[in-house]
Amino acid sequence: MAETGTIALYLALVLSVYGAFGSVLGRLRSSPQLLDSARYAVYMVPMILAVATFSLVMSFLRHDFRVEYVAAHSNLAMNPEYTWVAIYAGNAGSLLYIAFTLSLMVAIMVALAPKAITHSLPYTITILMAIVTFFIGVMVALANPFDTLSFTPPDGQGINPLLTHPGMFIHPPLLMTGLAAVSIPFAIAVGSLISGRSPDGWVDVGRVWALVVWAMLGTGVLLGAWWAYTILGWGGYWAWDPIENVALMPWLALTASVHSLMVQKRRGMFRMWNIVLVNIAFTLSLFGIFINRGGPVPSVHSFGASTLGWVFLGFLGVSVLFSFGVFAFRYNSMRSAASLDSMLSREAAFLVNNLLLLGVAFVTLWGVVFPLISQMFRGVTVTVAAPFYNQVNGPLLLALIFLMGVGPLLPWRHATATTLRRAIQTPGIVAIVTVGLLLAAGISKPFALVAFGLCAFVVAGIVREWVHGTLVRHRRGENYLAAFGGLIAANRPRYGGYVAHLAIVVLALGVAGSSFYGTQRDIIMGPGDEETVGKYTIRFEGVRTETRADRIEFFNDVTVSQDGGEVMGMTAWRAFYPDLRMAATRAAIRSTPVEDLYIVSSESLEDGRVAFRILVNPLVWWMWLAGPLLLLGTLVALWPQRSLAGSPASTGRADGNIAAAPFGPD
Amino acid sequence: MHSMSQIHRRFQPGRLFSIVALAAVAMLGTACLTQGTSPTLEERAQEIGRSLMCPVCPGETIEQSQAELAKQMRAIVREKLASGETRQEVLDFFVDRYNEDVLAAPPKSGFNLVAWGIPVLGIAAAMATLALVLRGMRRNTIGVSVAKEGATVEADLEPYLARVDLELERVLRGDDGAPGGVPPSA
Amino acid sequence: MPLLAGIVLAWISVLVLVWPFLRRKNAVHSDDDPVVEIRRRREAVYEEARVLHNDHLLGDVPLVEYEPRFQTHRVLAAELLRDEERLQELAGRLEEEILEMRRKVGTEG
Repeated sequence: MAETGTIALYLALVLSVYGAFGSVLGRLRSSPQLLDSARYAVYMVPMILAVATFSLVMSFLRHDFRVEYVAAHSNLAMNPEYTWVAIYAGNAGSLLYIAFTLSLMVAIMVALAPKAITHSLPYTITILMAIVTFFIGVMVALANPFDTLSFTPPDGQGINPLLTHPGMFIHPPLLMTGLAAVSIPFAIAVGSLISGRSPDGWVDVGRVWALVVWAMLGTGVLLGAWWAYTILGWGGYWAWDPIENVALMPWLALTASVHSLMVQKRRGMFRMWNIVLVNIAFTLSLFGIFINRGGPVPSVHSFGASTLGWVFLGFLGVSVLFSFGVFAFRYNSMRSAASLDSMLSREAAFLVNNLLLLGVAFVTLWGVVFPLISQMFRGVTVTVAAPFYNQVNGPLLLALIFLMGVGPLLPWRHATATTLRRAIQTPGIVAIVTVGLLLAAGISKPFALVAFGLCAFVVAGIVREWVHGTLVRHRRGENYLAAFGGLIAANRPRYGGYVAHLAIVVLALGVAGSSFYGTQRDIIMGPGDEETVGKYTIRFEGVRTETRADRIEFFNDVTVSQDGGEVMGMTAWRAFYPDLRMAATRAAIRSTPVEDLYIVSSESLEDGRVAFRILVNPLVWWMWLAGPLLLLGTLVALWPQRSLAGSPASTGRADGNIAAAPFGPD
Repeated sequence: MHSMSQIHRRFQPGRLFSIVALAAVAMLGTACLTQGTSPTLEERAQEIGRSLMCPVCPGETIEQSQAELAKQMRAIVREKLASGETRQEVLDFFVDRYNEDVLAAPPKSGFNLVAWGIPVLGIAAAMATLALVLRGMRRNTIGVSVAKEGATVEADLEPYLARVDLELERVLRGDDGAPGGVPPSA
Repeated sequence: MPLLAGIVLAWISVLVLVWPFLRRKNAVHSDDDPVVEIRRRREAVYEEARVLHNDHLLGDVPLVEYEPRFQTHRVLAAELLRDEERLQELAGRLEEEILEMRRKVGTEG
């Protein structure tokens, strides 16, 4: 089966090269047949790559250890369902996965491309096929997942135990596809730029794909945080690790993009800036893929240092030059249709939003890169980790939350000071009252108060909008439920945006609660011992050991009671893999909206005692709502608005031409 | 909007807003002053632990890591704090042994000021640029809208306008569930 | 066996890619049809009017601004509708003339 895989790779490579050249040639020579042919190549590539992926899957399922990749990432004892994870566990397999999913998304984009980008689509296809070609080319030349060993090992090395968690079934694939797929809105924008036609035609479909990729990346990052929290056992969810950072940065740029694309959609403004933004997002995503491939930065995540990283750096350089070239070439065609009327307007707020988001991205990038700069200039490495990012990004993120509250209250074009004040009043009062109540309750850390106050401000603003909008519609004759539903249906991008803002608010709540009021204790307990942490009394019952083929598992049972109340049992699980000299943990977490009780066992001592780490993390429960809310918001924002297809003045034939139908009421 | 603006008029929005803003400042001031009890030794040790990297693990602080060396370092931190050393003294101790990169964030001195300074300068520069750009983008639009209002509608457009009105009504009604508000032709 | 699969896949791909060159030329792509283009622009104007109307309902756009802007959209849509129908008329007349000429050539030939 492995040979089929390699043949499929070569075939896919030829097809994607053909697609890239054929598309641009067909455009330049106005040959509709060549254009169609190139488009068919776009559809064929994912199908051939599917064959390749299938070959790899079969090699795993058949334990074909002569294939080097299969031997490196599986063994006879492995559960078959982990085959899915094993596919992308290593460099070569993950490249195949990325190539396959990217080419699939490209095919979908091309198939669903609206008429508005017909003229630029060939250039878009060329750009995307060039990128797909790159991934397949790297595989074929440097990291073929189907390379065979000169002998057949009796057993493989097994899969990294850290990957055998449900979160690992979704987090890496989502992130990898998300990062690669940033190329899609990029190609749509740049394709439109190259074709030189209507400067706003790409915005509708560009925004759709930017949102889709944004949702993918966002969910991927959140899943990573959730996985880190439950598996890595240090009680945190985000360490500003370089790999985490490089996934966050393009997401921030896409967030900025999604916002300012709305301005271009509504008012034809920010044309140049949106192209720049999309370029920034794409460059950051390539940077992310580069760092992921064993770039020069150490991280818990590294796929393993490899020279592959520098190939990606080269590709990054080439694409930066390319986008810059196109931008310079078409600079003059991008004058905006309208200009800014006032500093106090939604357009201006979006610009500030962009500035803050890119500011956070810049700070994050700077932190990732500074150790290298220090090495270059001083010959001394320094570390840039969480304390740096927290101190510098913290205020920026707070400012963003504030803007999230104020921005939607600003009308387009201009707002008078009075309208603004009236809009801010109710949410502002709610925020102040909230802070007052918190102070009274004993919460007095200033940053935490500001964070909670701002969250209250945003939520109050959103609720006020919803209530106001529903009332307005209700007064026009609908009942409350229909009014609310109709409100959302009539303003889908806007209300989807509100839901997404709520997602950020709950995220902020969790971060603020756990960062400022989290407590941690490391304790050592023998069987029967009891300790009190906060309002919890924790009693270590004992440990059960189970030996498996490749690991020893420790089930550390504890019973927990709260202020003399209900007693419940929790189990902190640990496993040791002697062959790999690795340990894995699963924390015991009791999660309520108020706080998380987090128990993880770090070590079993010889005298039978066990070292535990106990954390009490307030409000973390709310953070995990962010993922579903984000997805819901995206769905609402993207739900298609029904077209005019049914109206009598525009009844048409199937191929789109319009019959001169007599006008009359339907 | 009616009921809300009535309430607003009775309470004079401007003054209320200023009172509310003052209250906010007062509260935050109180918060800073009544800043909880001073941190315990354990809390201080944990904070220092989060500021020191484990030299043998990639990218983990000594609080995060379960490596033997990390545990030893954590114990040393607690010993030193218990014997009265300050945070800076503890950090310096480890920097002497393991070089600067044992610190989780660059110290705010010497070349490393660049690390902290560039973000601040960069963002300040960006804000200044934005302010300039915004000021440059603002143009007087009054002239434009006057011209639009003065335009007369061509006569032969009338029948088409009527059809457009009907379609618009359908589009708007499809949204509201109530008759759309198409304003009468100028 | 893998070689066979590879050859089959390659053949299928070649066939798919060559097919557009072999099939009969079909009628003018509706993408290039200017009538459809104008209709699409008119629908975009309706969408903008709808959004403007909603914004006005929500209080984002005051009446003094809403009315002239809505009028602009209305007039623009009417102009587009007029242009669309004129183009259609033109296209229809062109088709008739071509048919006429074909018939003439047919009877004379």
